[in-house]
Amino acid sequence: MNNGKEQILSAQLMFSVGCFIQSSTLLTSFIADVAGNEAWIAVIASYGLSMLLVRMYVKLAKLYPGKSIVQISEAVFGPVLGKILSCFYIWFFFSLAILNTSDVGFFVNNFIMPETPKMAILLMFIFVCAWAVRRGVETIMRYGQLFLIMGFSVVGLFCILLFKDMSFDNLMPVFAMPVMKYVQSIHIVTIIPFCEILAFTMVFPYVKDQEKIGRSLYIGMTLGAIHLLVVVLRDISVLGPVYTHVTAPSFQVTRLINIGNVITRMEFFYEVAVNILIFFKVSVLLFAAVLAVAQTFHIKSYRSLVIPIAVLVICISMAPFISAAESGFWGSNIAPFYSAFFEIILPFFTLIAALIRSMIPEEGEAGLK
Amino acid sequence: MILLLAVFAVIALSEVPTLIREKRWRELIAFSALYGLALFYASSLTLGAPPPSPIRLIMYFIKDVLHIGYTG
Repeated sequence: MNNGKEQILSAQLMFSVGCFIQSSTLLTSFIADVAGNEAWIAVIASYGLSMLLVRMYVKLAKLYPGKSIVQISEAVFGPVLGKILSCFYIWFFFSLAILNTSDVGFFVNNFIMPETPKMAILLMFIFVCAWAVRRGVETIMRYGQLFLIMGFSVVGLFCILLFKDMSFDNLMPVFAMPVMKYVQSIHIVTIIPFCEILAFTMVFPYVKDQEKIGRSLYIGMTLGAIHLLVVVLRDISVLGPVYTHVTAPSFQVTRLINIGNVITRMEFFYEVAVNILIFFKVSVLLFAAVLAVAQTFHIKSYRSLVIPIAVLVICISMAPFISAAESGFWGSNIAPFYSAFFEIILPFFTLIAALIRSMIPEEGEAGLK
Repeated sequence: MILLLAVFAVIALSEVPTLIREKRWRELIAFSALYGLALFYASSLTLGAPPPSPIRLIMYFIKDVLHIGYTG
Protein backbone atom coordinates (compact mmCIF):
# COMPACT_ATOMS: atom_id res chain seq x y z
CA MET A 1 0.00 0.00 0.00
CA ASN A 2 1.79 3.11 -1.19
CA ASN A 3 -0.49 6.10 -0.94
CA GLY A 4 1.45 7.51 -3.86
CA LYS A 5 2.90 10.36 -1.84
CA GLU A 6 5.75 8.82 0.13
CA GLN A 7 8.81 7.58 -1.69
CA ILE A 8 12.19 6.40 -0.49
CA LEU A 9 15.38 6.53 -2.46
CA SER A 10 17.37 3.31 -2.77
CA ALA A 11 20.29 5.05 -1.03
CA GLN A 12 18.04 5.84 1.93
CA LEU A 13 17.03 2.18 2.08
CA MET A 14 20.69 1.15 2.02
CA PHE A 15 21.64 3.44 4.90
CA SER A 16 18.56 2.47 6.85
CA VAL A 17 19.37 -1.24 6.59
CA GLY A 18 22.91 -0.54 7.80
CA CYS A 19 21.58 1.54 10.67
CA PHE A 20 19.07 -1.18 11.57
CA ILE A 21 21.85 -3.76 11.93
CA GLN A 22 24.04 -1.30 13.83
CA SER A 23 21.38 -1.02 16.49
CA SER A 24 21.95 -4.65 17.46
CA THR A 25 25.11 -3.65 19.28
CA LEU A 26 23.28 -4.09 22.58
CA LEU A 27 22.49 -7.67 21.67
CA THR A 28 26.09 -8.85 21.36
CA SER A 29 25.79 -10.25 24.88
CA PHE A 30 23.73 -13.10 23.38
CA ILE A 31 26.70 -14.12 21.25
CA ALA A 32 29.20 -13.51 24.04
CA ASP A 33 27.50 -16.11 26.23
CA VAL A 34 27.82 -18.76 23.55
CA ALA A 35 30.87 -18.01 21.44
CA GLY A 36 33.03 -16.17 23.92
CA ASN A 37 36.18 -14.77 22.35
CA GLU A 38 35.31 -16.41 19.03
CA ALA A 39 32.20 -14.28 18.53
CA TRP A 40 33.95 -12.46 15.69
CA ILE A 41 34.08 -15.72 13.73
CA ALA A 42 30.31 -16.05 14.20
CA VAL A 43 29.77 -12.53 12.88
CA ILE A 44 31.79 -13.16 9.72
CA ALA A 45 30.16 -16.54 9.02
CA SER A 46 26.67 -15.17 9.74
CA TYR A 47 27.20 -12.29 7.35
CA GLY A 48 27.94 -14.74 4.54
CA LEU A 49 24.96 -16.93 5.39
CA SER A 50 22.62 -13.96 5.74
CA MET A 51 23.56 -12.66 2.30
CA LEU A 52 22.23 -15.94 0.89
CA LEU A 53 19.06 -15.85 2.97
CA VAL A 54 18.25 -12.25 2.12
CA ARG A 55 18.25 -13.25 -1.54
CA MET A 56 14.84 -14.78 -0.78
CA TYR A 57 13.45 -11.37 0.14
CA VAL A 58 15.05 -9.79 -2.92
CA LYS A 59 13.66 -12.50 -5.21
CA LEU A 60 10.17 -12.03 -3.78
CA ALA A 61 10.50 -8.28 -4.33
CA LYS A 62 11.46 -8.92 -7.96
CA LEU A 63 8.58 -11.33 -8.52
CA TYR A 64 6.08 -8.91 -6.97
CA PRO A 65 7.44 -5.39 -7.43
CA GLY A 66 5.81 -2.67 -5.39
CA LYS A 67 4.33 -5.11 -2.87
CA SER A 68 5.16 -5.75 0.75
CA ILE A 69 5.60 -9.21 2.24
CA VAL A 70 2.01 -9.10 3.52
CA GLN A 71 0.63 -8.26 0.09
CA ILE A 72 2.87 -10.89 -1.49
CA SER A 73 1.54 -13.54 0.93
CA GLU A 74 -2.01 -12.71 -0.06
CA ALA A 75 -1.15 -12.67 -3.77
CA VAL A 76 0.60 -16.03 -3.56
CA PHE A 77 -1.57 -17.99 -1.14
CA GLY A 78 -4.92 -16.35 -1.68
CA PRO A 79 -7.09 -14.30 0.68
CA VAL A 80 -7.59 -16.84 3.48
CA LEU A 81 -4.18 -18.48 3.87
CA GLY A 82 -2.53 -15.18 2.91
CA LYS A 83 -4.25 -13.40 5.79
CA ILE A 84 -3.20 -16.14 8.21
CA LEU A 85 0.42 -15.69 7.13
CA SER A 86 0.01 -11.94 7.36
CA CYS A 87 -1.14 -12.32 10.96
CA PHE A 88 2.06 -14.23 11.66
CA TYR A 89 4.09 -11.38 10.24
CA ILE A 90 2.07 -8.82 12.23
CA TRP A 91 2.79 -10.70 15.43
CA PHE A 92 6.48 -11.09 14.53
CA PHE A 93 7.10 -7.38 13.89
CA PHE A 94 5.08 -6.53 16.98
CA SER A 95 7.07 -8.96 19.14
CA LEU A 96 10.39 -7.61 17.85
CA ALA A 97 9.26 -4.09 18.71
CA ILE A 98 8.37 -5.31 22.22
CA LEU A 99 11.69 -7.09 22.74
CA ASN A 100 13.82 -4.20 21.51
CA THR A 101 11.84 -1.67 23.55
CA SER A 102 12.25 -3.91 26.57
CA ASP A 103 16.02 -3.97 25.97
CA VAL A 104 16.08 -0.17 25.99
CA GLY A 105 14.08 -0.06 29.19
CA PHE A 106 16.32 -2.63 30.86
CA PHE A 107 19.52 -0.96 29.75
CA VAL A 108 18.56 2.61 30.67
CA ASN A 109 16.89 1.56 33.93
CA ASN A 110 19.82 -0.54 35.09
CA PHE A 111 22.86 1.36 33.87
CA ILE A 112 21.92 4.99 33.34
CA MET A 113 18.84 6.02 35.30
CA PRO A 114 18.15 3.45 38.03
CA GLU A 115 15.93 5.81 40.04
CA THR A 116 13.61 6.54 37.11
CA PRO A 117 10.52 4.36 36.82
CA LYS A 118 10.79 2.04 33.84
CA MET A 119 7.35 3.11 32.60
CA ALA A 120 8.54 6.71 32.24
CA ILE A 121 11.53 5.61 30.16
CA LEU A 122 9.44 3.39 27.90
CA LEU A 123 6.71 6.01 27.56
CA MET A 124 9.12 8.69 26.41
CA PHE A 125 10.93 6.31 24.08
CA ILE A 126 7.80 4.92 22.41
CA PHE A 127 6.23 8.37 22.21
CA VAL A 128 9.05 9.52 19.92
CA CYS A 129 8.95 6.27 17.92
CA ALA A 130 5.17 6.54 17.46
CA TRP A 131 5.50 10.18 16.44
CA ALA A 132 8.08 9.22 13.80
CA VAL A 133 5.84 6.43 12.49
CA ARG A 134 2.85 8.77 12.23
CA ARG A 135 4.97 11.23 10.28
CA GLY A 136 5.55 8.50 7.70
CA VAL A 137 8.15 6.10 6.41
CA GLU A 138 9.92 8.80 4.41
CA THR A 139 10.64 10.69 7.62
CA ILE A 140 12.05 7.59 9.29
CA MET A 141 14.23 6.52 6.38
CA ARG A 142 15.59 10.01 5.88
CA TYR A 143 17.43 9.74 9.17
CA GLY A 144 19.02 6.41 8.39
CA GLN A 145 22.02 8.00 6.72
CA LEU A 146 22.61 10.42 9.56
CA PHE A 147 22.34 7.75 12.22
CA LEU A 148 24.57 5.33 10.30
CA ILE A 149 27.34 7.92 10.08
CA MET A 150 26.82 8.75 13.75
CA GLY A 151 27.10 5.07 14.67
CA PHE A 152 30.33 4.62 12.74
CA SER A 153 31.76 7.84 14.19
CA VAL A 154 31.07 6.80 17.76
CA VAL A 155 32.52 3.32 17.25
CA GLY A 156 35.56 4.74 15.46
CA LEU A 157 36.16 7.27 18.21
CA PHE A 158 35.91 4.64 20.94
CA CYS A 159 38.24 2.32 19.05
CA ILE A 160 40.84 5.07 18.91
CA LEU A 161 40.43 5.91 22.59
CA LEU A 162 40.58 2.26 23.60
CA PHE A 163 43.46 1.27 21.33
CA LYS A 164 45.94 1.33 24.19
CA ASP A 165 43.74 -1.12 26.13
CA MET A 166 43.37 -3.60 23.28
CA SER A 167 45.18 -6.89 23.38
CA PHE A 168 44.67 -8.88 20.22
CA ASP A 169 45.89 -12.01 21.97
CA ASN A 170 42.41 -12.09 23.53
CA LEU A 171 41.02 -13.09 20.12
CA MET A 172 42.85 -16.42 20.42
CA PRO A 173 42.48 -19.36 20.53
CA VAL A 174 40.22 -20.04 17.56
CA PHE A 175 38.24 -23.14 16.66
CA ALA A 176 38.68 -24.48 20.16
CA MET A 177 34.99 -24.85 20.99
CA PRO A 178 32.60 -27.73 20.31
CA VAL A 179 31.00 -27.57 16.86
CA MET A 180 27.52 -26.97 18.28
CA LYS A 181 28.71 -23.72 19.86
CA TYR A 182 29.71 -22.43 16.42
CA VAL A 183 26.40 -23.59 14.98
CA GLN A 184 24.50 -21.87 17.79
CA SER A 185 26.43 -18.62 17.62
CA ILE A 186 26.19 -18.42 13.81
CA HIS A 187 22.49 -19.18 14.08
CA ILE A 188 22.02 -16.38 16.64
CA VAL A 189 23.88 -13.73 14.67
CA THR A 190 22.25 -14.72 11.37
CA ILE A 191 18.76 -14.49 12.80
CA ILE A 192 18.89 -11.66 15.28
CA PRO A 193 20.80 -8.78 13.70
CA PHE A 194 20.84 -9.72 10.02
CA CYS A 195 17.64 -11.45 8.99
CA GLU A 196 15.49 -9.10 11.07
CA ILE A 197 15.74 -6.80 8.05
CA LEU A 198 12.66 -8.78 6.98
CA ALA A 199 10.91 -5.71 8.44
CA PHE A 200 12.15 -3.73 5.43
CA THR A 201 10.01 -5.91 3.15
CA MET A 202 7.15 -3.76 4.42
CA VAL A 203 9.01 -0.71 3.14
CA PHE A 204 9.63 -2.12 -0.37
CA PRO A 205 6.47 -0.59 -1.89
CA TYR A 206 7.77 2.85 -1.03
CA VAL A 207 11.14 2.43 -2.73
CA LYS A 208 11.30 4.58 -5.84
CA ASP A 209 13.69 2.38 -7.78
CA GLN A 210 12.44 -1.17 -7.36
CA GLU A 211 15.35 -2.67 -9.34
CA LYS A 212 17.84 -1.35 -6.81
CA ILE A 213 16.24 -2.94 -3.75
CA GLY A 214 18.61 -5.93 -3.83
CA ARG A 215 21.71 -3.81 -4.13
CA SER A 216 20.53 -1.55 -1.31
CA LEU A 217 19.92 -4.51 0.99
CA TYR A 218 23.28 -6.13 0.28
CA ILE A 219 25.34 -2.97 0.71
CA GLY A 220 23.36 -1.97 3.79
CA MET A 221 23.94 -5.40 5.33
CA THR A 222 27.64 -5.10 4.56
CA LEU A 223 27.85 -1.75 6.31
CA GLY A 224 25.99 -3.13 9.32
CA ALA A 225 28.18 -6.22 9.40
CA ILE A 226 31.35 -4.11 9.37
CA HIS A 227 30.04 -2.13 12.32
CA LEU A 228 29.08 -5.26 14.24
CA LEU A 229 32.41 -6.93 13.54
CA VAL A 230 34.41 -3.89 14.67
CA VAL A 231 32.35 -3.68 17.87
CA VAL A 232 32.80 -7.37 18.67
CA LEU A 233 36.54 -7.31 17.92
CA ARG A 234 36.99 -4.22 20.04
CA ASP A 235 35.03 -5.65 22.96
CA ILE A 236 36.86 -8.97 22.95
CA SER A 237 40.29 -7.42 22.59
CA VAL A 238 39.66 -5.00 25.46
CA LEU A 239 37.70 -7.17 27.88
CA GLY A 240 39.44 -10.46 27.24
CA PRO A 241 38.14 -13.28 29.46
CA VAL A 242 35.69 -10.89 31.14
CA TYR A 243 33.82 -10.56 27.82
CA THR A 244 31.61 -13.55 28.57
CA HIS A 245 30.79 -12.42 32.09
CA VAL A 246 29.45 -8.90 31.59
CA THR A 247 25.87 -8.01 30.73
CA ALA A 248 26.47 -5.32 28.12
CA PRO A 249 30.04 -5.75 26.84
CA SER A 250 30.01 -2.66 24.61
CA PHE A 251 28.83 -0.47 27.45
CA GLN A 252 31.34 -1.89 29.92
CA VAL A 253 34.13 -1.30 27.40
CA THR A 254 33.32 2.40 27.11
CA ARG A 255 33.50 2.73 30.89
CA LEU A 256 37.15 1.78 30.68
CA ILE A 257 38.06 4.81 28.58
CA ASN A 258 40.49 6.95 30.55
CA ILE A 259 42.88 9.26 28.75
CA GLY A 260 44.98 11.12 31.28
CA ASN A 261 42.06 11.30 33.72
CA VAL A 262 40.63 13.94 31.40
CA ILE A 263 38.67 11.92 28.86
CA THR A 264 36.55 9.71 31.07
CA ARG A 265 32.88 8.79 31.57
CA MET A 266 32.45 8.35 27.83
CA GLU A 267 29.67 5.82 28.37
CA PHE A 268 27.24 8.71 28.11
CA PHE A 269 28.02 9.09 24.41
CA TYR A 270 27.66 5.37 23.91
CA GLU A 271 24.30 5.42 25.65
CA VAL A 272 23.03 8.30 23.51
CA ALA A 273 24.23 6.63 20.31
CA VAL A 274 22.65 3.28 21.23
CA ASN A 275 19.35 4.91 22.17
CA ILE A 276 19.24 6.76 18.87
CA LEU A 277 20.01 3.59 16.91
CA ILE A 278 17.42 1.52 18.76
CA PHE A 279 14.89 4.34 18.31
CA PHE A 280 15.43 3.91 14.57
CA LYS A 281 15.07 0.13 14.78
CA VAL A 282 11.90 0.24 16.90
CA SER A 283 10.41 2.90 14.61
CA VAL A 284 10.96 0.63 11.60
CA LEU A 285 9.50 -2.37 13.45
CA LEU A 286 6.53 -0.36 14.70
CA PHE A 287 5.92 0.93 11.20
CA ALA A 288 6.13 -2.61 9.82
CA ALA A 289 3.64 -3.91 12.41
CA VAL A 290 1.19 -1.06 11.90
CA LEU A 291 1.36 -1.18 8.13
CA ALA A 292 0.99 -4.98 8.19
CA VAL A 293 -2.24 -4.62 10.19
CA ALA A 294 -3.51 -1.98 7.77
CA GLN A 295 -2.69 -4.01 4.68
CA THR A 296 -4.03 -7.29 6.10
CA PHE A 297 -7.42 -5.77 6.89
CA HIS A 298 -7.45 -3.47 3.86
CA ILE A 299 -7.40 -0.25 5.86
CA LYS A 300 -6.50 2.79 3.79
CA SER A 301 -4.46 4.71 6.33
CA TYR A 302 -2.36 3.13 9.06
CA ARG A 303 -1.89 6.31 11.07
CA SER A 304 -4.80 5.88 13.46
CA LEU A 305 -3.51 2.41 14.41
CA VAL A 306 -0.13 3.69 15.62
CA ILE A 307 -1.22 4.81 19.08
CA PRO A 308 -3.02 1.63 20.22
CA ILE A 309 -0.19 -0.57 18.96
CA ALA A 310 2.38 1.71 20.61
CA VAL A 311 0.49 1.49 23.92
CA LEU A 312 0.44 -2.30 23.64
CA VAL A 313 4.19 -2.29 23.00
CA ILE A 314 4.76 -0.20 26.14
CA CYS A 315 2.54 -2.42 28.31
CA ILE A 316 4.04 -5.73 27.23
CA SER A 317 7.64 -4.50 27.17
CA MET A 318 7.35 -3.54 30.85
CA ALA A 319 7.99 -7.17 31.71
CA PRO A 320 8.26 -9.60 28.81
CA PHE A 321 10.45 -11.81 30.99
CA ILE A 322 10.62 -12.30 34.73
CA SER A 323 14.36 -11.69 34.90
CA ALA A 324 17.41 -10.67 32.90
CA ALA A 325 18.60 -14.27 33.02
CA GLU A 326 15.43 -15.40 31.30
CA SER A 327 15.89 -12.69 28.68
CA GLY A 328 19.44 -13.90 28.07
CA PHE A 329 18.21 -17.49 27.82
CA TRP A 330 15.58 -16.42 25.29
CA GLY A 331 18.15 -14.60 23.16
CA SER A 332 20.71 -17.38 23.12
CA ASN A 333 18.51 -20.46 22.98
CA ILE A 334 14.92 -19.79 21.89
CA ALA A 335 14.92 -16.65 19.74
CA PRO A 336 17.03 -18.21 16.95
CA PHE A 337 14.34 -20.83 16.36
CA TYR A 338 11.39 -18.53 16.99
CA SER A 339 12.64 -15.89 14.56
CA ALA A 340 13.83 -18.46 12.01
CA PHE A 341 10.21 -19.51 11.47
CA PHE A 342 9.24 -16.00 10.38
CA GLU A 343 12.48 -14.93 8.72
CA ILE A 344 13.41 -18.10 6.86
CA ILE A 345 10.67 -20.74 6.77
CA LEU A 346 7.69 -18.55 5.88
CA PRO A 347 9.51 -16.51 3.17
CA PHE A 348 11.02 -19.72 1.79
CA PHE A 349 7.64 -21.38 1.30
CA THR A 350 6.23 -18.12 -0.04
CA LEU A 351 9.05 -17.96 -2.58
CA ILE A 352 8.58 -21.60 -3.62
CA ALA A 353 4.84 -21.04 -4.07
CA ALA A 354 5.47 -17.80 -5.97
CA LEU A 355 7.92 -19.52 -8.32
CA ILE A 356 5.43 -22.34 -8.94
CA ARG A 357 2.69 -19.80 -9.64
CA SER A 358 4.95 -17.94 -12.03
CA MET A 359 5.44 -21.12 -14.04
CA ILE A 360 1.69 -21.61 -14.40
CA PRO A 361 0.31 -19.20 -16.99
CA GLU A 362 -2.93 -17.54 -15.87
CA GLU A 363 -5.37 -16.01 -18.26
CA GLY A 364 -6.59 -12.51 -17.70
CA GLU A 365 -3.85 -11.53 -15.35
CA ALA A 366 -0.63 -9.65 -16.01
CA GLY A 367 2.27 -12.06 -15.87
CA LEU A 368 4.78 -11.81 -13.10
CA LYS A 369 7.97 -10.01 -14.01
CA MET B 1 -6.22 4.61 37.20
CA ILE B 2 -8.28 7.76 36.75
CA LEU B 3 -5.33 9.46 35.07
CA LEU B 4 -4.94 6.44 32.77
CA LEU B 5 -8.61 6.52 31.79
CA ALA B 6 -8.40 10.27 31.24
CA VAL B 7 -5.42 9.89 28.93
CA PHE B 8 -7.14 7.13 26.99
CA ALA B 9 -10.28 9.25 26.73
CA VAL B 10 -8.30 12.20 25.38
CA ILE B 11 -6.59 10.04 22.76
CA ALA B 12 -9.90 8.47 21.75
CA LEU B 13 -11.51 11.89 21.47
CA SER B 14 -8.71 13.05 19.20
CA GLU B 15 -9.00 10.08 16.85
CA VAL B 16 -12.55 8.71 16.84
CA PRO B 17 -14.54 11.81 15.72
CA THR B 18 -12.33 12.13 12.64
CA LEU B 19 -12.85 8.48 11.73
CA ILE B 20 -16.62 8.78 12.17
CA ARG B 21 -16.83 12.05 10.26
CA GLU B 22 -14.91 10.63 7.31
CA LYS B 23 -16.89 7.35 7.49
CA ARG B 24 -13.74 5.24 7.80
CA TRP B 25 -15.59 2.37 9.42
CA ARG B 26 -12.99 -0.34 8.82
CA GLU B 27 -10.36 1.82 10.40
CA LEU B 28 -12.68 2.63 13.30
CA ILE B 29 -13.28 -1.05 13.99
CA ALA B 30 -9.56 -1.85 13.88
CA PHE B 31 -8.75 1.15 16.07
CA SER B 32 -11.44 0.22 18.57
CA ALA B 33 -10.33 -3.40 18.79
CA LEU B 34 -6.67 -2.52 19.29
CA TYR B 35 -7.51 0.35 21.61
CA GLY B 36 -9.71 -1.89 23.75
CA LEU B 37 -6.90 -4.40 24.04
CA ALA B 38 -4.43 -1.63 24.90
CA LEU B 39 -6.82 -0.29 27.54
CA PHE B 40 -7.21 -3.76 29.04
CA TYR B 41 -3.42 -4.25 29.21
CA ALA B 42 -2.76 -0.79 30.61
CA SER B 43 -5.52 -1.12 33.21
CA SER B 44 -4.25 -4.52 34.30
CA LEU B 45 -0.74 -3.10 34.70
CA THR B 46 -2.03 -0.12 36.67
CA LEU B 47 -4.04 -2.36 38.98
CA GLY B 48 -0.97 -4.51 39.63
CA ALA B 49 -2.26 -7.64 37.90
CA PRO B 50 -0.55 -7.76 34.52
CA PRO B 51 -1.64 -10.45 32.09
CA PRO B 52 0.91 -13.16 31.31
CA SER B 53 3.58 -12.09 28.86
CA PRO B 54 2.93 -13.54 25.39
CA ILE B 55 6.69 -13.82 24.88
CA ARG B 56 6.95 -16.14 27.88
CA LEU B 57 4.04 -18.18 26.56
CA ILE B 58 5.87 -18.57 23.26
CA MET B 59 9.05 -19.52 25.09
CA TYR B 60 7.13 -22.16 27.05
CA PHE B 61 5.58 -23.48 23.83
CA ILE B 62 8.91 -23.71 21.99
CA LYS B 63 10.98 -25.02 24.90
CA ASP B 64 8.60 -27.24 26.85
CA VAL B 65 6.03 -28.34 24.25
CA LEU B 66 8.02 -28.55 21.04
CA HIS B 67 11.33 -29.21 22.86
CA ILE B 68 13.18 -27.01 20.41
CA GLY B 69 16.19 -25.02 21.49
CA TYR B 70 19.83 -25.24 22.26
CA THR B 71 20.50 -26.94 25.57
CA GLY B 72 22.04 -24.65 28.17
